[in-house]
Amino acid sequence: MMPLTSGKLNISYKIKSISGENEKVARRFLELGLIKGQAIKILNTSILKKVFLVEIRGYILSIKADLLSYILVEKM
Amino acid sequence: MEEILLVGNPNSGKTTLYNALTRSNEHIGNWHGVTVEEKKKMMKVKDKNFLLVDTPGLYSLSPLSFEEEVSFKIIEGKNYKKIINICDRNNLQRNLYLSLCLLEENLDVVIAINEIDKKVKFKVDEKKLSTMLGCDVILINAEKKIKVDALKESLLKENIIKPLPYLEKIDFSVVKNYFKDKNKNEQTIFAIKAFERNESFFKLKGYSDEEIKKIFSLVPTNSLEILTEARYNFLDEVIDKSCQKVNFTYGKSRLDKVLLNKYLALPLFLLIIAFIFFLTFFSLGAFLSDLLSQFLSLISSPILSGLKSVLGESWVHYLFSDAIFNGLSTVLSFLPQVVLLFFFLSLLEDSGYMSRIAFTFEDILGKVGLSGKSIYTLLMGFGCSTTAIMTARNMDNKNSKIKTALLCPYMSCSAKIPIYTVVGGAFFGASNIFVIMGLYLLGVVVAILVSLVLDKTVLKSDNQTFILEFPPYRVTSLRRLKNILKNNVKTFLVKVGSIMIAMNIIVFLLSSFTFKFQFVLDGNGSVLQEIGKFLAPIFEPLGFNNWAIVSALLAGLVAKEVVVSSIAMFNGVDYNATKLISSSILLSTSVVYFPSTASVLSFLVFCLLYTPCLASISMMKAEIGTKWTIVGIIIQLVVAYVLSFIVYNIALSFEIFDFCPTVLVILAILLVLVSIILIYRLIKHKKCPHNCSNCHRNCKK
Repeated sequence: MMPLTSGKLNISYKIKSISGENEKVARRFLELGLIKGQAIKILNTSILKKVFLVEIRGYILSIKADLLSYILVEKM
Repeated sequence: MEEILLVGNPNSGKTTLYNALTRSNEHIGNWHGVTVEEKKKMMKVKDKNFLLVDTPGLYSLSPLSFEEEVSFKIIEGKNYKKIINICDRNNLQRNLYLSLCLLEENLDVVIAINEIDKKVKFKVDEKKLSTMLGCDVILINAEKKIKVDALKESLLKENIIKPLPYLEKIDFSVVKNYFKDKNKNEQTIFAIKAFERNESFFKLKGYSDEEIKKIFSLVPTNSLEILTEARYNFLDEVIDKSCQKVNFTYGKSRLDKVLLNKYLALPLFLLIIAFIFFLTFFSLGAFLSDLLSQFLSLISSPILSGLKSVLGESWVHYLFSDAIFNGLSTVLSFLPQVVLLFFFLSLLEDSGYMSRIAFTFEDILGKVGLSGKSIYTLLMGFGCSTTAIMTARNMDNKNSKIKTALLCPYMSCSAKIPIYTVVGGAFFGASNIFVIMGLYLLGVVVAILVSLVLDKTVLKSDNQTFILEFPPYRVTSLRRLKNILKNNVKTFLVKVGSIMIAMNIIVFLLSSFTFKFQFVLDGNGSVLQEIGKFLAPIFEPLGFNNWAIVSALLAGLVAKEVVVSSIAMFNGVDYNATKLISSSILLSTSVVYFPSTASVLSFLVFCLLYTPCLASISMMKAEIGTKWTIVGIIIQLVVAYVLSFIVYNIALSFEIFDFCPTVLVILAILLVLVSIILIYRLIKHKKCPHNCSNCHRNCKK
């Protein structure tokens, strides 16, 4: 298990858990469909790697890195 | 009148549908959160009248941001006949999540699935969806107004509410028991809200914090996860059965391989901006501006000469010719640029490229307290602050919008070029190019510093939009282009034009009347001159305590182009702004005004940084409000004064060594270095010894 921020580009990961440290963020993640077992892929990062583009459920989200690290994933 | 709510995810086309249903013309955009407050308008269905309410976008009924709170309260107010829930077909599953939340509350919903992109072959079976969800489902195209009438008709039908199957699988018994005094329907809704841990809902229903705590203690700790999983599993099933599956990612494009490439993103963006810049402010824009002003002088000259024959050389004639006609032609000369800029901006905006720019530059600009989108506005500021400030409106949040608008004037606009070339050229000759470069750099550095200060004090960047949906590339339709241009030109002419002309008249009156209401033609003894004389001592520390220069600066408030001509006018030189003046004449005349090259430098720095023209001020007022406009003006005056003072004194001390032109460059380079170090230090903080993968600086380990 590792935070998604240490994942590699264009490789599908499976969401293991979402840390509830920040309740607001965890809630929004769930609502956007980032639930346990869901496949997630990093498509791109910004220049300083502070913002990530991730693919989930057939659409793309841009998420700041510090929030993304709440998502723990493992290789598919 | 009964109300109909328009509810949906951000960027799902609510406002487009609102415009189609009510035949109105509200602003829409291909990004997140264009609508920030509710809008209401009458809509006719057969012979019944309804009030259609457009709400800000939301993802669920547990609000997290201010806009979502607005929509949430309207929905929970239950003061309406029906809800139109608009869903984006291309991202149907995520959009239907909100529909489920609405249906769980037994609200009367009709789902309108918006087919934005025709190209995507993703077939949706309306009937199957309708039976599975238990509400009307209609496939529409809001932009082309396809099946909008069918949607209208469905509003008159009553919905038969059907329980959602997945709710039966969740054990609500404990929490339902807590609400046993309510009816069965309400028991289920309240139990769901408890599982959602929806504080806003219970607060709205009048529960105290303690009661809410107690309710939340009745549900499992991972209740929200249980509920969302159930919802999404149900949606998986729904999509599986009612839609033809196509393997595609919404918003993914091959273009991104190039446009978001680490090394290509920045050069490509600069190339695009340079192209827009060139067309707007130079080639095409300048050509159209010239054409327009020629046309204006063609029609105005017979009118003015007619006026002259009637009124003679009286002040009324000059009021018309110098103040009103001049003001009008200045406003209109901006028009081609405004039209062109908004033409390109709407293309960029709708194409989805802006979101990509925001993404690429978010972290770099974020360090100085701006958002990724600011870069476009700021670069436009080099052309014209007025039009650039107008583009600040597409910032994601209010604070970055205000900040970006406030920073625009520090980008040295093209109207200041005559000051640099004429005044600077007269004193520095060939080395003037370095002075001009230094001035441009200084402007940028000051902007960064001001932004940093604002960010740390009054205008903190808020992280409301921490998670954003990435829009696909789209081509703007001609209809939309027409609407955007029409709206923006109207705002520009009405809001900005009227203030500009009014201020023009005021400055004209000030510069052509004495305190005794005597009319003077050459400005001698005018109120403006008197004010200039009165204010001159203030500029003593800056090295130019001369009334003529101060009056010219005052006149420069109208437009920066006037500064040079005013200096000449006060000196009795007939200077026509459209003709190129030989700098030697001005040199001989302005030597009187500028005692040393140090004072010239200080004057140039002051011109760069002080309050922008009236057009930008009125635009700022229109975009960010009176309060922030005044704050901005004060900051600009203070910054201009302080920096001019510093530059003057440094330059003066260097003047002994006859070293002057390079001084500003050295100063600018030093400032750049300092700010680079500052920014670098902000970005590269000390590495965390704990070796976490995502160390952010507020880590407390």
